[in-house]
Amino acid sequence: MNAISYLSNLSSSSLGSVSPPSSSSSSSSSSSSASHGVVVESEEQGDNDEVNQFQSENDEDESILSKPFRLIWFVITSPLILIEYGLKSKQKVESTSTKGETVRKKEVDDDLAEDEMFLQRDTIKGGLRGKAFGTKKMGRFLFPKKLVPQSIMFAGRKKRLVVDLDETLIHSATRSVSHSNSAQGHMVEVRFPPSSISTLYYVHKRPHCDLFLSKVSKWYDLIIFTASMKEYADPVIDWLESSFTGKFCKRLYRHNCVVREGVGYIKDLSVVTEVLDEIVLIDNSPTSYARNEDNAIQVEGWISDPSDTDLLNLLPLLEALRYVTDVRSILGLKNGEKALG
Amino acid sequence: MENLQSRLDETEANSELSKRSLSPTRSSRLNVSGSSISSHSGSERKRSSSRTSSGKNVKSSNDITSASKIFRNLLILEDDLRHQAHRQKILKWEFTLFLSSLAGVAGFAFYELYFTHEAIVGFYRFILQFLLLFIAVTVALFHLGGEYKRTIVIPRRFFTSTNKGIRQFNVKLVKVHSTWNEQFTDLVRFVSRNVAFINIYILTKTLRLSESNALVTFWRSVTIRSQPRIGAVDVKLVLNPRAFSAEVREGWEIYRDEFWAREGARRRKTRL
Repeated sequence: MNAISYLSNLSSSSLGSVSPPSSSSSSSSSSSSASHGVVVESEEQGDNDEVNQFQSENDEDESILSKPFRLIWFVITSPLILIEYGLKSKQKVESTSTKGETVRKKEVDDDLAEDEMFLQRDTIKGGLRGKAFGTKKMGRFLFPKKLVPQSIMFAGRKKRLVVDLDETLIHSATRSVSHSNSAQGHMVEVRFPPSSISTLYYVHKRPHCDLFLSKVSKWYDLIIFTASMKEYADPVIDWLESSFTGKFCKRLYRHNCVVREGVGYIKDLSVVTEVLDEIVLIDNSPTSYARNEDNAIQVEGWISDPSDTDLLNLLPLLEALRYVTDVRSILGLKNGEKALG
Repeated sequence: MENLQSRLDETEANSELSKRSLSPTRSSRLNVSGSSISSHSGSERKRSSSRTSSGKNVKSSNDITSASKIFRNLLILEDDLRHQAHRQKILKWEFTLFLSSLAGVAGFAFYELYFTHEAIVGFYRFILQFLLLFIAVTVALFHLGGEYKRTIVIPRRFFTSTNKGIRQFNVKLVKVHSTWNEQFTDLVRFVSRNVAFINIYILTKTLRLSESNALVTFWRSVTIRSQPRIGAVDVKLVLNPRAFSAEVREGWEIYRDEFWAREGARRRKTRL
């Protein structure tokens, strides 16, 4: 009985009535609330309002034209509406009882979502005749709840990328040696304090240097760490900064390096940060990263090769490293199986 | 020591949770493979707690963390590289299509102008000449502006270039070729997924049915069942055999497959 009245209400609302809009809306809504007050609620009222609006906007002629179409539409959709009515009434009863539960469940889900570093223990057994797999070397596997933790994904905090200057991004020479990629290079005049004699340096950028820096500056906080003197490095860094959109957050020079006799200048990353799992160092010299081998990416030293693509080759790796939880687990793989402990 | 103990306890609790969340197919698969999850959970707990009591096993639990940590980070790396490879592939196809359509139009104009017997005159001739010139200038600018390199050359060398970059870490990015039946499954999933989306759209937007309608619920379940395959289906990272033993390499493969199987189960569950 209810269903039939529901259908008749809908038919009257969707077909539209000849009577004035205000009266039709009031009659249909009142009848619906009278017949089954709980089920037909605001949504239907909204439908009626829309129909009324539609009617008031259009002329009489248009309503006559549209009426048959609406009738056909109603006939086609009436079975679906009936199904919907049945489900709605069923759901209404259920939803009142389960509302409290769903709210609580949502809270629990949120809690789990936050706890990203929580790893799950699992017993993985390979095809090795039921023997527990890799217990000797790798032990048991722990699985994360989500691939990338939300603390990294949505924190808005960037990892830090420390880049070397000489032979990594640029090459400079005191005399203009014959360079095949560019005729002269950029000239930098350097005056060292003790003696007032100035030296002229011709600085050449490594191929794809600008592209590399502009891409990488979007992903990381860039830091330049050079073993050169401040007097020489500053004008060169200024020149580099002028040719890409980003900026270097910090500049570190020779006096920030640790000197080891007979070895050279060592770049200790603890000068930059104590948190070593979010810092990457790109350098051409293994001596420079002797203290932080697991944070380093080595590149070939560059002098004059115009077809060099090393910086370009590093871009996919650096882009992918943005979301890892600890860069040392990836960069430490250069030691092979030793990294597994 | 206490920290370790509490951490292991937490881990255990979490694994219990995850076991409950596994889909029936998943748990049955695991049962087949020998790790009787549902029936022996109690005994398993007992075993692990006795393990943590001895100092030797605490050390081994540290090792677990290190291997799992590395594999987890490799998973993140692999997933991002997979997205990159996908992006580059789309970029390459888009611009190849663009350039080839330009070449097609230019070829047609050239043929019409100089190779047909009837002389082309008037406005039509002007249009064709303009088109030819326009395309020539576009292509020249495309090349000179470095777009050709960005959209065609670099994407084509993506795998070579990436592998040069990651070679020092003893890993390699390789393409995974699907078998014909996998491709067919992908096609079926793709079609049914899109059909389901269209149906849901029509049912909810045009017919204004509620989300709880039986038909809408049915099509929603179809979208869940026809989700695309996830994991190492097209691109994967492999460990260098010179640097890693077979055991570690196989462990990595197992870890990856297991993670994506869990992830798939999780996605199906959360979308329900």
